[in-house]
Amino acid sequence: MKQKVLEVKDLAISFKTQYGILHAIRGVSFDLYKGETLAIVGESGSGKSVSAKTILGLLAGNSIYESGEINFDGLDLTQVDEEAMHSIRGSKISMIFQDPMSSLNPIQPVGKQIAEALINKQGMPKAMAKERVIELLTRVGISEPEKRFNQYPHQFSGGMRQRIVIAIALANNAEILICDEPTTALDVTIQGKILELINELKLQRELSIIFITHDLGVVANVADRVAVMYAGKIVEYGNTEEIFYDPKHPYTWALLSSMPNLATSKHLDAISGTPPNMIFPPKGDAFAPRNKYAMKIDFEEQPPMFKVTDTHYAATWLLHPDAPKVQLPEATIRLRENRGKLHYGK
Amino acid sequence: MIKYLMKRMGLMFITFIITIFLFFFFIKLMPDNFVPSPGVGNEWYEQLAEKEGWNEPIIVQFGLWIKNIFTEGNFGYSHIMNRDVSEAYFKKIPASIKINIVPYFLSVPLAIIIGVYAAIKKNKWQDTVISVWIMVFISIPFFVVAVLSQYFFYWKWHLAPDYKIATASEFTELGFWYGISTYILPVIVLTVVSIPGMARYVRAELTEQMTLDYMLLARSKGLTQKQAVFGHALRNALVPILPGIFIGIIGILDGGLITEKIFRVDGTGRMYLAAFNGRDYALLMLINAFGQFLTLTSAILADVSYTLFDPRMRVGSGKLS
Repeated sequence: MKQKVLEVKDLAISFKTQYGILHAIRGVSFDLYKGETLAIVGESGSGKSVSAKTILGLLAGNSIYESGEINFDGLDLTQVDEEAMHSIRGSKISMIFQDPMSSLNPIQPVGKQIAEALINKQGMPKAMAKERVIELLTRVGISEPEKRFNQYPHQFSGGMRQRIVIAIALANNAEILICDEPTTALDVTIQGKILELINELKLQRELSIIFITHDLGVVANVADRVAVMYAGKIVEYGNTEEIFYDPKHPYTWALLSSMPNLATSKHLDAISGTPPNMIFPPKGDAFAPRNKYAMKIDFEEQPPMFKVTDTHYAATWLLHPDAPKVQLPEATIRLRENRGKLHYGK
Repeated sequence: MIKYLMKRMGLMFITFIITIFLFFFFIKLMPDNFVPSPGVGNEWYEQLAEKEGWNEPIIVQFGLWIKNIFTEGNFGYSHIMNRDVSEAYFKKIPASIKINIVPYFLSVPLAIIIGVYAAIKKNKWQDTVISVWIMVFISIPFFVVAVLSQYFFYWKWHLAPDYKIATASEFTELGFWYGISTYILPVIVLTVVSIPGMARYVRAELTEQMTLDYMLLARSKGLTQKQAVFGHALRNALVPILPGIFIGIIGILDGGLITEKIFRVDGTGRMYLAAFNGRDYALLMLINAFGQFLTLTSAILADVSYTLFDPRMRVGSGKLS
């Protein structure tokens, strides 16, 4: 059994907005094991980023903690004070963000921004920090690091900046790296390289990674396990293989059907409708109104997590013993048939 | 950079000439004060007009004015002051500087501190208090604040002897502390009224910077909120604000009309009003030209100062224009 490094239990977070209380996440639970990549997949607004930011205690001021715990290193991160959180951020858990264009301070040389992490956390003297930074820059694949050290973010390309952000995140040897859509703002060729870098670093340092994305192609590339989120809940989780080749939840089906691959011959199935307004979360299964397979009970009662295998769970009434057998969507069948032949993203 | 500066200065020169001409033109369009009563000639005025060339077309007068400046360094003769205008005007500048300089150097740091504090305490009661104060002082005209405070300070509470700013001779005659005491209220009022605008600007810029992604990254690399704000957000927030502060330094030279009237400062602002009322064309033109020169220079300085604070402006001087 692998060592569990992070455990999120029944976490619920809301936000105070001018229209009412927005229930961003409603009881999310997942575990993260040492050296694995857990991908959290879902549409915009499904609560992926909120889950991640909660772990780091970086939620906006209008957030309300409802319930749940985040266990890390013998601490419950929902309960610790700012002081303790501050000693965890950067040195134990680190995060990289979606848009490398805006996640670096535009008016400070990049070298200084990386060195700051070292100087602040480890009390490293400046000269030594500079050496370390140059090492780090080389490690994340930036050529001529001495020259680059004093350059400003606008003198780097998007991919380069994301490499610098990764260098910052890993400067203090964090154990857990949270990647919040790190490749969304990059073009596809750069995307592949950044994913490669993240994978490499993961193996080298035994990093545990929480990888947030809406791009299933990326998931196939990096993830060991996948959690699918919808409307503030995890609706299905399992090993990457299980999610791709044996998905159980209609939402996962819909996501997989809306993803193009080399075997796509006809038009893509977009998911109709929009996600629910989380100020008024629906009573039953949140996906029911958009679900082709929805049954009466889906509108009335929230489905529990049904166990598929030891590692694979899904929250849909279709897994109930009494549920009717349904015809799987074409795309998921095709995926299964082409198992091992298709590569996403690469 | 040099090329850019040359270009800017060339443009500035053209703007300067055009605006100065417009000033000249419109000043000359003002109706004369010298209306001769019926039956009584106004010979002295006619003589003056003849001598100064006021009977020529405006464009010719403008040419003459320019010519005198370049050939003789002569800006004209002030008939209300009865002396050379440049001599009369530049003598008054120190008085204006004296009243403006202390409020400037007090209000800039105070405004930044208050703005930063409000931004850090955003939406808490401290922020609300500051915001209300800012709104009140922005909404109430400056002269109302000044006159009211004069009323209380001098007439109700008798905190200082008189509400006239001491001149240099009064400093020597009545003592240093007497002189300083006349400055207290004007300095306080000028400081208090110039803080809100800037504080509001600082707060707005900083709160915006604090929501940006680089602040999240700064926090997630382990900086405290304070370290992140002062190490990253504040400098970014000040980039658009600092040029305005530079312009403020130059503004010190230029006395305010209302300020000097209310606090009875014998400075340039008061002279400007007198020049208008007396139709002292030469004096008006000198004040306008000088003011315009300061404004245009400060605009260039502001642009150049951007490059000091924002590295994005530094690369490729050609791109700046």
